[in-house]
Amino acid sequence: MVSTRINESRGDRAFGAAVYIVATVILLIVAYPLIYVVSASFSDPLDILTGKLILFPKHVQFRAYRAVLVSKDVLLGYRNTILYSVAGTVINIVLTTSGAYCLSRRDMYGRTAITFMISFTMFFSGGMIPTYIVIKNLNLLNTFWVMVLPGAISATNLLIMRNYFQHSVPQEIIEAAYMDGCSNVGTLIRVVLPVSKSIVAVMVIFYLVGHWNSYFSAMLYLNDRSRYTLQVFLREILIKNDLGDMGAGSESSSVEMTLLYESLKFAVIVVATLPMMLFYPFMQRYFVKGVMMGSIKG
Amino acid sequence: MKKLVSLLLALILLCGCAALADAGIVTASGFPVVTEPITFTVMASQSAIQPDFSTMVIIPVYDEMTGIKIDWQCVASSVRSEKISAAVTSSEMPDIFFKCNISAANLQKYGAQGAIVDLAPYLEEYAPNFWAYAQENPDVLAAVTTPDGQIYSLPAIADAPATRMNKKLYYNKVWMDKLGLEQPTTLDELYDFLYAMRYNDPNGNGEIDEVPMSETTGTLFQVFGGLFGVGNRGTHSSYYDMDTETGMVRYSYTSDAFRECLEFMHKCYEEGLIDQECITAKDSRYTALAAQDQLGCYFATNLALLAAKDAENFVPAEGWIEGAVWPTMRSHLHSVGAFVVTSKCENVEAALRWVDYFYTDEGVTFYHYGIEGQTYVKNEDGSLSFTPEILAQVTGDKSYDEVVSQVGPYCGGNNPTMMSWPGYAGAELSPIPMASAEAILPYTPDVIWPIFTYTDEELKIVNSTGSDLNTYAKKTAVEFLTGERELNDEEWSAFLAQCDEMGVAQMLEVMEGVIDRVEAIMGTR
Amino acid sequence: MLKSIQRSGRKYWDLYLLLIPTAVYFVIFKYLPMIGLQIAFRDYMPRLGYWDSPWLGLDYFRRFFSFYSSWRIILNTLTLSALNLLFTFPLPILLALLLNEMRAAGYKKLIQTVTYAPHFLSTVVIVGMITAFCSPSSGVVNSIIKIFGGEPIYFMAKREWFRPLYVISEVWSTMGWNSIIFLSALTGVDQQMYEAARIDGASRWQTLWRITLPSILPTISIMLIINCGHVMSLGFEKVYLMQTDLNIDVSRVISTFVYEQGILATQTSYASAIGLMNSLVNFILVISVNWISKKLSEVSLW
Repeated sequence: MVSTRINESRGDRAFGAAVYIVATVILLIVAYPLIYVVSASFSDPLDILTGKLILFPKHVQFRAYRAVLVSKDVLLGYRNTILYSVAGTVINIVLTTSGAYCLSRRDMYGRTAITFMISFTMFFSGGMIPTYIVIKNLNLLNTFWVMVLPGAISATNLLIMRNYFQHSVPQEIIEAAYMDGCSNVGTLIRVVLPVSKSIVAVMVIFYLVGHWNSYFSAMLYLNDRSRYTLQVFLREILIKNDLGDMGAGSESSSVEMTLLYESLKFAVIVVATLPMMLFYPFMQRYFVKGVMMGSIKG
Repeated sequence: MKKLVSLLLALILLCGCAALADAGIVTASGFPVVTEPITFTVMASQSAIQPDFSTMVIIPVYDEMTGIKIDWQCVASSVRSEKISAAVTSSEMPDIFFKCNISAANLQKYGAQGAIVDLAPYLEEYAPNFWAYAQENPDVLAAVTTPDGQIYSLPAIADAPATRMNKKLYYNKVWMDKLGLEQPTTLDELYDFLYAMRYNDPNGNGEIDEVPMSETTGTLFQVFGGLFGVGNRGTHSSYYDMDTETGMVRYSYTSDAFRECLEFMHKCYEEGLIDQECITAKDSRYTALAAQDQLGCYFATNLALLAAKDAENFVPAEGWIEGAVWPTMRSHLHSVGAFVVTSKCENVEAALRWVDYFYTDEGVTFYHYGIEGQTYVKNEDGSLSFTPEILAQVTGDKSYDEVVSQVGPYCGGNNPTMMSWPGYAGAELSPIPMASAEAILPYTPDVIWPIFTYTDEELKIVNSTGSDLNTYAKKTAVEFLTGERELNDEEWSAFLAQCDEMGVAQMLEVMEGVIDRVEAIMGTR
Repeated sequence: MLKSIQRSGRKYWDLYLLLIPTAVYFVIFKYLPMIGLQIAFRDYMPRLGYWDSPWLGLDYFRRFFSFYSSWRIILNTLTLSALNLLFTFPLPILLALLLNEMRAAGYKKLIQTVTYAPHFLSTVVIVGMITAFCSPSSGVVNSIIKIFGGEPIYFMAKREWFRPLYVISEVWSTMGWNSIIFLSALTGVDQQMYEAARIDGASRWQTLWRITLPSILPTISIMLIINCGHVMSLGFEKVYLMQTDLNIDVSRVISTFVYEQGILATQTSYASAIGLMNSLVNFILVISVNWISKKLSEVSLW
C-alpha cells in the first residue's frame, strides 16, 4: 500500500483529494443533527422549543438524564436487553449461516424451491394476530424464548448471506475441501467461515441492533415487567412525561413534565444508543481486506 | 314498523332476563352488591404512570364494599387494541373490559358476533343511576345505542360544562392592560383587538413577533366558523350542522356562511393576526410562544400546558362575540367503550351493579379522590383536593398524575364514571378554566349532536365518500385561508362543483337518516 | 431427476439435516400464521375465527378502487417510493466506495461511526427535528436563508417541499447504515486484481470502475431486488407525521390511508386486503426484477 503513494499520478492525487472533500462534506451534514441531539439532551427544554438551541446547549442541565437514570427499571432493562440480544444473536447467526450455506450449494437438489419459499415470506405474512395465536399455542407467551425464537431468522438476511457465499467465496476452495474428504459441515466451519468474517460481522450488527431496538414484541408478548426490555422502559419514561397520553391534564406539575419531555426524548436516544455506538467500531475491524488471499494460499 | 319490532324484541328480552335474574345472588340495591362473594376477571387499560390496579387504595375498599373480588389483568395502553383483539379472537376473554376505549364500530362488530353482551335489557334495573342520567340527558343514550337498539358499553360521561367544553378561551391580561384593550364583543372589535396585539408591540421588544391567536387549523375553523353561525351542532360534528333557515342538515364547509368566515380568516391570516404557522401547530408551540411572551389569546381545555409564570398572564374570557356560536362543546358523552361486559361473564347483573355506583355523585368522588380524610379533603369553596401528605410526594421525579394514581384508576381517561363537579379530579375543574367555561356557556349550541353510530351500510359510505370529501374540503379551506388559492367567485364555485362531484348530496342523504334516528332518541325533533 | 436427487442426497445428506431447523422455523412462524391472510376476503369476526367469518370475495378491493382518490393515492405511493429508492439506494454505495478509497484509518472510522448513528433515531424524533429546523420563525434552515437575504419558506406547509424533505431526511438517516453491507462486500474483492491493475498502470479512477464496482455488483443487484420489494409498502409513520393539510395532495399514500380508515373504524379485514394487494404488487415486481437480473448477471434471489 505504501508503494502506491510514491508513484501516484497527478490524476490519482486529485482523485484522492476529491474523496476526502466529499467525505468531509458528508461528515459535516450528518454530524450536525447528531450534535443537535446530544446538545438537546443537555439543554433547557425552553431553548429547544423556542429555537435558541443552534449547536451547543446555552443552559446546560442534566435533568433529563436524572429522570432516565433515577429509574431502577433502566438497569433491569439493560440487563434483559443484553440477555435477549446476545442469546438471540447467537441463535440468529447459527441458523442463518447454516441455512444460507445450504442454499448456496448450487447442485443441491431442491434449493431453488426452498429459497423461493423463504423469499415468499418476505412479502406475505399472516399478520399480527395469527402470529400471536401461534405463539400462544406454543406456550411461548411471557417466556424468555418469545424474545428470541419468533425472529430467529430474517429471510432478507439469509438471502444476503447466501448471496455472499455464492459470489464472494471462491467455489474452488470448497471443491478442494470436498476432494480432501472434508464433510460439508466441516467445509463450512473450517473453510468457508474463516473467509466470510465480514459478512458474519454484518449479520451480527444487523441482528444485534434489531434485538436492541426491539420494543413491540416485548410489549405484545410479555406481561411480566421483570422481563421487559430497555426500550419498553424508556418508552414508558417518555410516555409518563408526555401530557398527550393523560387525556385530562392536571395542573400542578404537568407543565414541568411537558417541558422536560422535550429534552427527555433526546436523552433517551443517547442512553439507548450509546452501547451500540461503542460496539460498532469493535465490529468494524472485521471489515478488513485481503483475508481471502491468505486462506487460499494456506 | 322496524322500531316496533325492535321494541317488542327488547320487551321479550327484558322479560327473559328478569326471569333469569331471580336465580341470582344480586341484591336489589345498595351495598354489598351480591349475597355471596364472587370474582370477576377484568382487563384494564393501564397507562405508563399507573401502578397495577390491585394496589390502588380504592380497589380493596371497593372489593369489600361490593363483595365482588376483581382479578385485574392490566394491559399497557399502547398495545391495548392488539391485546383486546387477541383476547376476542382466541375466545380467552375476561369478564369485563375496563377503560379499554373500545370504539363504537368495534362494539357493534363484537356485539354482532355475540362476543359482548347487550346491556340494554339490564340497565333500568341493574344500573339505575346510569339509566336515570341517560334518561335526563338523552344525548348520552343516543351515542351508546346502536342503530338496531343495542347498548354494548357504558360510557365516560362529561357532566360539568368545563369538562364538556374542549376548547375554552383565555386572554393575555398583561398585553390588554398595556394596550388598554377590553375583551371584544363584536366582530369588528375582535379584529381591532387582534390587530392591536399584533402591531402595537405589547411585548415591548420592538419587533412584530407577536402572535395574537394560535391554534390548529381544525380548532380555528370551528371557532371562527362559529362567528358566522357555522358549527351550530357542537364539536363532534365539525363537517355537518343545521341550516337554521331551512331546518335541513347542511355540509358546513360549502355553506355561504363558511365562505364569509374564510374571507375574514384569510384577512386575519395575511396580517398575522392568527398564527401563520397554524398548519403545523401543536401543543408545544403554545408553550413556546407563551414562554417568549408572544401569545395573545389561548384556547385550551386548561392552562396546564403553559409554564406557571406564563399562565399567570392569562385571564378567562368573560363572554364571547354577540350572536356568535361557540361550537367546541361536547355532548354529555365523553367516550364510549369504557365498560364492556363479555359473553364470558356469568353474572351481568352483578357487573352492572358493581359499576353503577360510579355514576352517582358519591361514587364519582370515590372513583377519583378516594376516601375523605384518608386521601382527600374538602376545601371551603366546595372543591376537593388530595391530602397534603399525598401531594407532598410530587417531586421532580414523580409527577402529580403518577402520585395520585396510587389512589384510583382515573388517569388515562375513558372511565366508566362522570366528569362532574366536584368529584372529578381533572384540571378542567380548577378556577380559571371553570370561569371561562361558565362565561362562554351561553354561546354554546342548544342542541349538540352526539358521536354518531352508523349501520354497516352507512358506515361504508361515511368511510369512503365521506372521508374523501372531508379531506378535500379541509385541504381546500386551508388553501383559501393561507391564500394559496385565491378566494373569489370563480374559485369558490369550482370548490363547490368539486364537492358536488365527490358526493355531497349522497352524504347529506345518509346524514339526514343518521340524524333523524339520533334526534328521535334525543327528543329534539 | 431421481438420479440427481439420489446423488444430491448422498453428497449433501449432512446439509439437509442442517437445513431442518430453518425449514421448521419458516413453517411454524411464517407459514402457519398465513391462514390469517384469508381475512382479506372475509368479513372478519374475531370470535368466529378465520374459517367461519362470512366470505366476501373481492369486496374490499372493489371498495378501495371505488374511492374517488384511490388512483392518486397509488400514484403518490409509487412516486414517493421511486424517488426514495432513486436516492437512498445509490448513495450508500457511493459512501462505501468513498470509505474504501480512504487511507486515513482514523478518519475513516469516524465517518463510518457518525453516519451509522442516525439509524437509531426514532421517526418521531426525526420528524420533530425536520419541523424544528424548517420552522419559518425559529428554524436553522430559514435563519440561513435570511442571512443570504432570502424570504423564509414555510417548508412543512408547501406541497412541493414534501417529497424533497422526505427523501433528504431518509437519505440522511439510512445512508451510513445501508452502506455497511457494501463495505463488507468490498472486503471480498480479490486483492490480486488490484496488484495486477497497478502493474498495468491503471489510474485509481479506472480501478474503481473496472475492478471495484464489478466485484460488488452481485451485492448491489441482490440489494436492489430486495429493495424493489418494498415499493408499495412505504412506511406509514414518517409520512403521517409529516402530513399537513396543505401537502395532503402528495402526502396521502396507501399506508396513511389505511391508517385513516383504521381510525374511523378498526377494519382489520379492509386493512389486510390492502396490505395483501401491496404485497402482491411487490411480489410481482420482485419476480420481474429478479428475472431480469438473472438474465443479465446471473444474480438472483432464487
